Amino acid sequence: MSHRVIRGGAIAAALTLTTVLAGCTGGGGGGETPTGSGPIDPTACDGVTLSFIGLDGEQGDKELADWRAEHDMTLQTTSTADMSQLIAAIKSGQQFDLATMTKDDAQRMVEGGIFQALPTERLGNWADMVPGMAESSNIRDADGVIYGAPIAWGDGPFVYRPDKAEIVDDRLSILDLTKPEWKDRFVLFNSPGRSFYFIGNALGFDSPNLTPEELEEVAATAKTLVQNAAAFATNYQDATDRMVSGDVDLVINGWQAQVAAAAERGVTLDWGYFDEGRTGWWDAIAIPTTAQNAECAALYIDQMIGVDAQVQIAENLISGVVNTQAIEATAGGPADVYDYESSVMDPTTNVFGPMIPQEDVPDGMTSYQDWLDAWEQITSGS
Amino acid sequence: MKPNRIVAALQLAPASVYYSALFGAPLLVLVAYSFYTTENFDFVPEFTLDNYVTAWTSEVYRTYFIRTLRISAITAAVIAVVAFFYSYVITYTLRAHRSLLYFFVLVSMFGGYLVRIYAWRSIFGTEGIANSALMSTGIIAEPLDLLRNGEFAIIIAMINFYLPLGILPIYAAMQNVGPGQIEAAQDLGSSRLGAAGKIVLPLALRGVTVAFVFTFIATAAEWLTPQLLGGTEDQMIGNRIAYQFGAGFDWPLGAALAVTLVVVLAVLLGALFTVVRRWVR
Repeated sequence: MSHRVIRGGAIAAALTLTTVLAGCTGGGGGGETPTGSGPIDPTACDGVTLSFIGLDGEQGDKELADWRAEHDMTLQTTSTADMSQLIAAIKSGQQFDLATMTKDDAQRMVEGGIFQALPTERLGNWADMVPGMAESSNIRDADGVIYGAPIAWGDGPFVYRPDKAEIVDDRLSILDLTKPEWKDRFVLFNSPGRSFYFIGNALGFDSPNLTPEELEEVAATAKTLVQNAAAFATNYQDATDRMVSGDVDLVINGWQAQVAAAAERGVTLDWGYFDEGRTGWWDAIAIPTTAQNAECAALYIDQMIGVDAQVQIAENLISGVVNTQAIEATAGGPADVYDYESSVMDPTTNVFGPMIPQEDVPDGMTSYQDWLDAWEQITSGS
Repeated sequence: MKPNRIVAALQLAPASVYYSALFGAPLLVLVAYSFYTTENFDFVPEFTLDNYVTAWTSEVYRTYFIRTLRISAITAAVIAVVAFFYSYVITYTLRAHRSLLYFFVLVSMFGGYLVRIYAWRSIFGTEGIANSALMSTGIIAEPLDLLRNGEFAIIIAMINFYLPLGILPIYAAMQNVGPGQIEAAQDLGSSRLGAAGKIVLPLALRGVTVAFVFTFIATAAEWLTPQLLGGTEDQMIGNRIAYQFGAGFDWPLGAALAVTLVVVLAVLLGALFTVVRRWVR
C-alpha cells in the first residue's frame, strides 16, 4: 500500500481519536435539571418516556402502573444489581432519567458527580419522609444538599437455613464465621462495608472510625472470613438461590424478602442479627446528571414516596416504608416485620448511620478508599 | 496513485473505517485515558505514568495478572488438545458423519452464555450435581473442594464455552491435509495416533496455534465466569478492570490495567507465533 494511503489512514485515525476524545470528559453531564420553584407541575410526565437504570423491582413498575397510564407515560428499565455498571453507564454519558442509589455506595455516587441535587422542597410527599431517612447524612453532600430519595429500607440481618445451621436465638457473632466449622457454608457480597464494620465492632473498635492500625487488624480477621466463605454473592437473588439449592447455609448481608422468596420454592429460611449490631440498608432513587426529563423524574420520585406506592412497595419488596403516613397501612401485612421506632423514627439512630467512613475523614483515620484497598488486597489472595 | 492501488484502497475502506471506528478508536481512547489523572472521582487530562506504575508494581495486580494468565493458558491448552482430536475425528475417522458432528459444535454455541454459566452453577458447589452424585454413590464421603466454586469450575466452564472457538480454525486447517497423507503414513507403519502426531499436527499447526490464541485472548478478558463460578479468591484481572470503571471511579487505572493486559497478551502470543514459525520451518 502506498505511503499516501497509509498517511491518509493515519490522519483519519487521528481525526477520529480527536473527535472521540473531545466527547470523553469525566462525569456524564449535559442533561436537564429540574427547573422552577413551587410544587412540580402535575402534568410534567404527560406523554413522557422516562428511562431508569438500577435495581429491578425498585422502579415502581407495578406500583405506579396505573399512574403512568393516567399520564400516558412510559417507563423504560435497564436492570442491574451491579452499582459499578450503573455508575459506569452514567459516567460515560448514557442518558437516564432515574437511577438507583444504594446506601453503601451513596456517598461515592454523590461525590462522583453522577447525580444532580434533588429539589426536595418541591416534592409534596417529602414532608412525610421518616426522620431517620430525611436527616441521613448519606444522601447529602458535604454542604448538606440532598441527592436521593430513599424508597425502601431494611435492617440488614443475616439470613440462614435453620434446617442446616443451628443458631441459638437467631444471634451470631461475625467472628463465629471465621471458625473452621463455617468453612464454605456462607456467602457475602464483594464489598468491605458490612464485614469490616462488624469485625471492627467485634474487636472493640469504634466502627467505622478506624485508625490505620485498627484497619490492619480488621483486615487480618476479614481475610479469614473471606477465605472461609464459599463465594461472593452477586445480589440477593443469587444469595437466595445458593441457599435454596443447599450450596450454602447463610448470607451475611441478608434481606427479609429472601425468606418469602425461598418459601415460594419450598425452603424455609430465617433471619437474625449479629452481636456486633445491625446495619440498615436503604435504596433510593436519584436523578442522574444525564437526565433529559428531570422535571418528570422529580414528579415520579414524589409518587414513589407517596403513601399508595409505599404500601405496595413494602408488600412487594418486604421492606420498610419511608412515608410516616404509610406505616399504619402495612400493619399485619408481609412487611410488618420492622421496628420503626428503633430504626427510622429517630434521626440519631445508629441503624442507618454510616457503616463505612464518610468521604472526608479526620486526620489519622482511615478513608473508604483505604478500606477498599485493604479489601482488594484480601480478595486478590496475595 | 496507480489505478489498481486506488481500487485496493477503496476495497479496504469499508473494513478500515469499521475497525477504526469500532476497535481502533476505542482502543486509542483507552490508551489516552490510561495516562489521565484521577481527581475527586473524576479523570482529568493531566499526563501521568502513575497508573502504569501501579499496574506493573502492585503485588495485588500482579497476583490478578498471574492468576488470569494461568487460568487462560490452562483453558486454551486444554481446548487446543480437545479441539484437535475432535477435529481429527470429524475430518478423518467419522468423515461420513462430519456434517452432524460439525453441527454439534455449532449447536453448543446456541445456548445463552449466562444460561450456561448457571447450568454449571448447578453442577459445581457443595451440594451441586457433581458432589451429590459422587456422595450418593459412596465414592466420596465429604464434598470435594475441587468441585466447589473455584478455579477448577471456572476452567471447566470456560472450556465448554470456548471449545467451538478452538474447533473451527483447527477443522479448517485440517481440510488442507488429505486423508491420503494419513493413509500413506499408516502404510509405512505408523499407528493412527502416530499419523495424527507426525503428519496432521505439523500440517495443521497454524490452526492449532490460532485456536490457542483465540481462546487465550477470550478467556484472559473474562470477568463474568469468575464472578459467578469462582470462589472469593479466584477473581481475574477482568473483574478488577470492570470494578475500576464502576464503583472504583478510577477509569485511568482501569484503562492502564486493560492496556497492560493487551500488551502482555501481545508479547506472549508474539513469542508463541515466533516459536511455532521456527518449528514449522
